[in-house]
Amino acid sequence: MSAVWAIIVVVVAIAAGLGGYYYGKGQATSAGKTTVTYYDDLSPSEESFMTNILIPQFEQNYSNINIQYVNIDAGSMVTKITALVQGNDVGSTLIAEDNLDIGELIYGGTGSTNYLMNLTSIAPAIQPATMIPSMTAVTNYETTAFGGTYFLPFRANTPLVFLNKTALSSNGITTAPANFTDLLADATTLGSSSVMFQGGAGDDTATEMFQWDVQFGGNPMVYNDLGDLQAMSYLYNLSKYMNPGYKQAIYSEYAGLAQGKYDILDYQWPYVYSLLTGGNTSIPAMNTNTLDVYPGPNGTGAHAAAHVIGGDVLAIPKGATNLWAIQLFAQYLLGAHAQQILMVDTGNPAVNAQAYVGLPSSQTVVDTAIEQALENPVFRPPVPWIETWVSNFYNDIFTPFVLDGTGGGAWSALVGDANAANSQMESYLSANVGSSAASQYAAGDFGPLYV
Amino acid sequence: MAVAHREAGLPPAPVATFWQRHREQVYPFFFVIPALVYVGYFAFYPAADAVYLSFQTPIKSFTFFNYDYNVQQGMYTWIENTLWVTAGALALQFGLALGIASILAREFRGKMIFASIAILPIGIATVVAGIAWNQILPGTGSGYANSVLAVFGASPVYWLNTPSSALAAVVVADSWKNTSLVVIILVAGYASIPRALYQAAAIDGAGPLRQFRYVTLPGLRSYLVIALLIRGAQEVNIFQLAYEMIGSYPQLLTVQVYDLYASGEGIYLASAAAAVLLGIISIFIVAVLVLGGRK
Amino acid sequence: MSGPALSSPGTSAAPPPRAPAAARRPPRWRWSQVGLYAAVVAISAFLLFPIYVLFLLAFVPQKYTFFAARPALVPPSLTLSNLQAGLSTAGSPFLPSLYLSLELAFLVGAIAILIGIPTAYGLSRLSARLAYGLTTVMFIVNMLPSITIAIPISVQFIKAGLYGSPLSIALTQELLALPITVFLLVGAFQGLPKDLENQARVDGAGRLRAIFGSLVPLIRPALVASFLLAWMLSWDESTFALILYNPSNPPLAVEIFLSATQRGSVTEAVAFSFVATVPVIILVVVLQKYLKGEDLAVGVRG
Repeated sequence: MSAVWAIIVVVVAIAAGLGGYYYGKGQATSAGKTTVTYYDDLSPSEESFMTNILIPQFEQNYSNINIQYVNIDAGSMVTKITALVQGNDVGSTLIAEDNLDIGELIYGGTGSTNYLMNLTSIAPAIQPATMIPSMTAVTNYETTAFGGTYFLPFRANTPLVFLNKTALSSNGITTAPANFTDLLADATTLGSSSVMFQGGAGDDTATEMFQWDVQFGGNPMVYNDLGDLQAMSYLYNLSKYMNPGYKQAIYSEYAGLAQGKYDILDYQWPYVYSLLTGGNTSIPAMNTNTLDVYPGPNGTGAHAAAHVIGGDVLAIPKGATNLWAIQLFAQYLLGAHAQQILMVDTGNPAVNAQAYVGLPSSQTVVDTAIEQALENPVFRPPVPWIETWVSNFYNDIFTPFVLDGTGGGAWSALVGDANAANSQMESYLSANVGSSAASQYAAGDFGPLYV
Repeated sequence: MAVAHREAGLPPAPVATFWQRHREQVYPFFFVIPALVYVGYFAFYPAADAVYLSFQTPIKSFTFFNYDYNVQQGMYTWIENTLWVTAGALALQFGLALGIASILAREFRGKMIFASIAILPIGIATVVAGIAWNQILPGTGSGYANSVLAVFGASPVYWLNTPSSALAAVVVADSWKNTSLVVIILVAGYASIPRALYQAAAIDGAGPLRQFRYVTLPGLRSYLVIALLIRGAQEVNIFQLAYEMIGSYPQLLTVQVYDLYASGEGIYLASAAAAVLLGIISIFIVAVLVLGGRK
Repeated sequence: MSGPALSSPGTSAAPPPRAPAAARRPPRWRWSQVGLYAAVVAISAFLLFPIYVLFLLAFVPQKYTFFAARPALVPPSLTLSNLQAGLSTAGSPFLPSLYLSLELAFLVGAIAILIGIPTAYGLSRLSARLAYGLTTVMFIVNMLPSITIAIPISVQFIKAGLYGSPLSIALTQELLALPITVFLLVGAFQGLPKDLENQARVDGAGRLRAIFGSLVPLIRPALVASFLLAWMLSWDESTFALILYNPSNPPLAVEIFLSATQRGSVTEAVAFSFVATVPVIILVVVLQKYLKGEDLAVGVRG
């Protein structure tokens, strides 16, 4: 009896092995073509536009180049590229990485290794002449900060606010909240569980709070100036009206707006617009009558309408081969045609100004919101310790004050948390970067970038 | 022996070499060394590396800074959360497994089916289990558990709202998946206890509870120790399921290691947190071995 | 309930001789019997519920599962469209993923046996204390957070030119499977009569032939159990696989993990999950008799 089982197991093993072998072989590139491996982090719906439209079109134009597309999340991409560069096995590779995670590749490993190739000489050939001004400013900034160009803006991203118009109007709210006071008033009218906020992870939460700090007139990097404190205190008050799922919500939380789990989706990236309006078949589709999107409420002061700009950048890992092919593909991705497809079909704001010309009218609502938001850009400073700033914020301020509710929202508790965050950030710099960086930090020299 | 040789008139026997004398004791090592080297190199090197790195920063060569900083960031809470999950999950798994194993020690109709059901969760990949449990115990107020509650007219629960309930959700999901392994080990244990002991105890007038305490538990002792060692270490290291269900709040040690590690510059802090993890596991193992009275 | 039922006091006649196997029916209806079945039902319900949920997620229309405020416990209708949608929006073809995962799992299981047998044999010939100590040392791998060791290990493999091949993923997953395989087999070897090997040697067999000819066949149940556990471990594993996989061909667990962490659309993940689960459930049910009792006489004996 067990002999029979043994035979079955062996037969299946051989079959599986052969099958896998043959399938694996079938993936190999045909001779004579150069293969460029392209890493990106796209949702399944976005992916189909990349693999079914953009890449085949490119391969048609350049019949001797084959693009191997790899879908991988931003964090895993860092570990993957790190391993490849360390193992000297990069090959012909282009990556589209998140703008915050790219810093981990620039300051990779123990903080002093740059895993990216210096693009200063080939950047002018790749980048279109019609870049959005704020994006050009980023590229210029790179030279100052890193001594050269190491990445090129590819898809800009800026958070927007999405509203369930039906739910709002049935509660007597006819206009989107224009400022934070209105937002809190509307949330009170709508009741508990009416707002969603990305409270689930360091990066996503810190990104939102960076913008709010700026809009309240503060410097997010120091955590404890008046604007920062006011923003956090406001957030605490608003959290009473948030759907409790906000504690785990990250950039992938949006479907609840269509499902009626909350009415105000406070800040999500524009890509969710196409998913809410029919792109995601597992939720009811919204339309322009039921869904509204706009840059969001304004704060006070000079930067009341500031919008944090994130997004993805193109980069080439150090040691990549067949640069000519990579260059051609990168150029294609930054061209007006590809940029427009990416913007219209996947909701990623284009960095090429040409892409905004001649857009279909169904896109008007979200495109208007994007263009408005991009008029007031603010960037996070590309310091190598930005991730520590993020986790410090999440651990020292957000978790105790908002998530745990320790101190019951008292101002003194908040001040204590914020001051602790500030001093820990300073001691971190002192132990990891140097005393000059620490004293710069103490003096408030690090702040948001306006271009 | 040489003396006997001479007396028998034989030429002196050659003195045995070390190898010839100790062959029987030495040769097993040749079988064992390849696997040991393989495991040792690939496991110990990174672990030692992690501990080494935990005392470094880019500009200092020996410092406790990483540990201090982690403590200020709330490491005691991370440790506490990890210990709660470990204790809760182990309690649930072992309690349930003892129950299942003692049921399987009897004969009853449908035993084969129940035995299959008992080990079914092993076959469900952790990623997949995470998907299912995310739909059963979500944080947004919907989900299948709430559907069951609705049948009884209860109002929906936000399962992940407070740290304790979120950790409890992880404990339940993790125990669902991992009880089967403990069941397998304990069933082997039950089989190793001779029936005669139960009969003797019954004759002495012991009821079920006393029999459990004085016959079953001692008989299961070494099996419990093994299961505790395996599952305990895995439990402290729980990552994938927890990350899928609760993300970064409430914070567990492994998730913190991952979060810090994934940001390139946090590698020293990550190593410090990983070293703490290793410390906890080591203490746990020593405690289990000592209390288990192993050999 | 304890061992064999006692004859009630006062019965002087010997109990009637018991009929063979047929008499092994469940005892008469008692409260403890009710308790037993109640426990069986309750536990089975708990263990089966998430699998049922997976079934619902895969085969019930989305509006009754994902976007319902109260997902339906009883399927109002069934559909194949989720599966179709999930399979067609996949980033890479589905069958090769399944094949690769199967291949990896069988590789890991096979290597575990191949390396495990000699290692366990060697350990079984050492003193029990030493064997136990060395096995514990091997288990330390399982105790490390995988993310901490995944990158240094992967770099080593990449330098050795093994990047991207199924063999490299299998070798790293082997690190997790080997300790438990060795553990099970050491116990099995220790349970064999000591003289067996000597007899084979006396009969003229070389050491290796003695081992494989006379000892190994006797520990077949433990071999199957180890193979099965190693198989499951590889099937389940995704951390190492995530770093080492060839971009054109991800294993199933990686594919599911990537979809489940993607932006909100879980359909694809569920479709993959379900297909990934079915062969394993079959394997578990079919081979479950090896996963119990006496066959797992693990190396706990003194």
